[in-house]
Amino acid sequence: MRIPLFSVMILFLLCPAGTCSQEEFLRVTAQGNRQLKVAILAPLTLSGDQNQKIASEVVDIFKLDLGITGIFSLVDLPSASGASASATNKETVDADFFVKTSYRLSATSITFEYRLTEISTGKELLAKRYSSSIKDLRKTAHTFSDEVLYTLTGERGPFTSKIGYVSTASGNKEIYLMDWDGYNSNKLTSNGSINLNPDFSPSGKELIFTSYKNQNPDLYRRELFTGTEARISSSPGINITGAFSPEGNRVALAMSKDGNSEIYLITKAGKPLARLSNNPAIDLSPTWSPDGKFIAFVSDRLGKPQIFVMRFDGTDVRRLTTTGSYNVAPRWSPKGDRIAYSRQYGNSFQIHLINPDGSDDKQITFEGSNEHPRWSPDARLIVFSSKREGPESLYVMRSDGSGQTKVSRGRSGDSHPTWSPRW
Amino acid sequence: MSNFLFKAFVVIAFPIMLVSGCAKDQVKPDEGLSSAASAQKASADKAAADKAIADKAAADKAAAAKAAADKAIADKAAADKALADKAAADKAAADKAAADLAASAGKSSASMTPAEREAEAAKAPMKMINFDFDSYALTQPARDILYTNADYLLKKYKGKVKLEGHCDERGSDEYNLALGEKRAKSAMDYLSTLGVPSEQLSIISYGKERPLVTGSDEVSWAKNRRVEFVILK
Repeated sequence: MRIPLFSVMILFLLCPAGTCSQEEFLRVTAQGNRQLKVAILAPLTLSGDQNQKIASEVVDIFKLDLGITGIFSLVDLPSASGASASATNKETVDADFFVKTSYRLSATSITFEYRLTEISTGKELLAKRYSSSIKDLRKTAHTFSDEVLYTLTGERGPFTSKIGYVSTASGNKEIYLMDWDGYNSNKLTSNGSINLNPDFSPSGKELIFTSYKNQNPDLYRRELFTGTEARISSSPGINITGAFSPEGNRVALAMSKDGNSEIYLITKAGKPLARLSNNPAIDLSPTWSPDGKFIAFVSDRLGKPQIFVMRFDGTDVRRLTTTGSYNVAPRWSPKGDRIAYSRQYGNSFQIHLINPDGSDDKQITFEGSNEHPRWSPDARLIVFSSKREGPESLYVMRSDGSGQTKVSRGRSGDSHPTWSPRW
Repeated sequence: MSNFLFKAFVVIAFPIMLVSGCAKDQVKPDEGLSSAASAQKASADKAAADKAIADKAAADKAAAAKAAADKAIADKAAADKALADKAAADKAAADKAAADLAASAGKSSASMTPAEREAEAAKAPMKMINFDFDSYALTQPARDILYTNADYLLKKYKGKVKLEGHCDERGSDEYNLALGEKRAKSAMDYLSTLGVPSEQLSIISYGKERPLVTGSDEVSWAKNRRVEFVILK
């Protein structure tokens, strides 16, 4: 049992009168389909003087999390510090909801109480208390953001999930992990070679990636808790673009052991299962539909790389992208309704979305060169790498292309993002 | 129903598990090199013997055409001696080449800067070949270089060579890994056609991960679309 070992944070759910049935949530739609207006009040201290650093950090997290969803518009209050007391008067604030924070700071820990209040009725929709070490306080605010989305939309937010990525911060390409907003970055591999294309298991506890650490591009599986790595595919030639199946037992990947790059299925332990493509052209970059029945992939069998879809047993191959001369890096949405990919325009790339039947192909990025789209677990957001400001960095946007926000915090090249499932 | 109902949850805190610097490399080093080397030496010896027999037959035929028996005997003796001398010289040259390479191969290409890599490539005994954009087809200049490299591999250096396929920075990382491999394979297939034993050759693709030169222009891209021939110790 791992839970006691890893519990640094204990959550208390305060359930105010009248909102006690946890299974219910509001499906709020504002009139005229406008955004919901949220006012984030300045945190109140319950332990002496206001700690301005903590207070503004929490407010910034709520603004970033709730703002990136596009569901909310953030209402600025006249005065950040004095607002919390007076702003509870609904006549003075043009907003639908308040997010209120109070906190109690001790020498080693901090206790937060977060509340979501509907202004028109005065009803407290959500109230949570979190105790954590001070260094984990960001986690508590992200957790509450997830809860706010659950309460108001029925679907939890992605803000406590992680983004795996490749960074050249140490000089070569190593695998890293960070919060969705770029904080708490953590270097996972340190093998000094080239490491590429990380992909999370559906449990979020494992990452597969390709590494040259043994003088060949082989596929490895790494357990995040222990750091243990196993080489699961090391056939002669490339072993690249591994993708966990939705149920988590199998991996689709590209290997060239039979002459040229083809798509194969192996177990997550590395046992060969099937060869899915058989074509003298390059076939790679498989991505699973969320029901596990289909795999989209890249092939240049018609001359240039295009995206194709087949059944997971390799039958019924059909072409998906029919416009553009160079379409790569497909990624099926966890909702199943859209496939994100990158298309080459001249010497740069832009991100597109397309329906799995090939309809409604739409460009959603336009600035700089943008690659490697990966969906958040709730499919609301997409992380991608961009060279718009020089060194390649990671950005997050809404799934309609709006709200593009840089989340890389280092100065080095960050690429190949992959968004973890919920933990 | 009370006003406040307290429920305790325990959250699995992932920050802990991220502090995981203890990667255990479970990979075993490459095995079987020595047996491969001895097999290859045996095949090289056999090739040399075949060649000697063929040369000898040609010399015999020329001698017979002259129809002067005693002169023919003398010629044959001279031819035999010339053959023996040539074989000895070739062997000395091959030994020297191998020794030079072993001495210069101190630094692996992995730890080199692009500039170092370009300088190193320039003095390599086998010139690299270049490709057109998004193509793994061998151009005529590439074929000419491969012919020279095959000659070197057939006559001077009998050891192992790794063919590294590379791409320019355009295109996707993943697609370029496959394209770089196709380039290396094109070169390997052509060397095999020219008679280089396949046991001598292996391939690896670096895609666009190891550019020879930095720069985002046609000249740099053309230099980076290449296959390099790396002598393995």
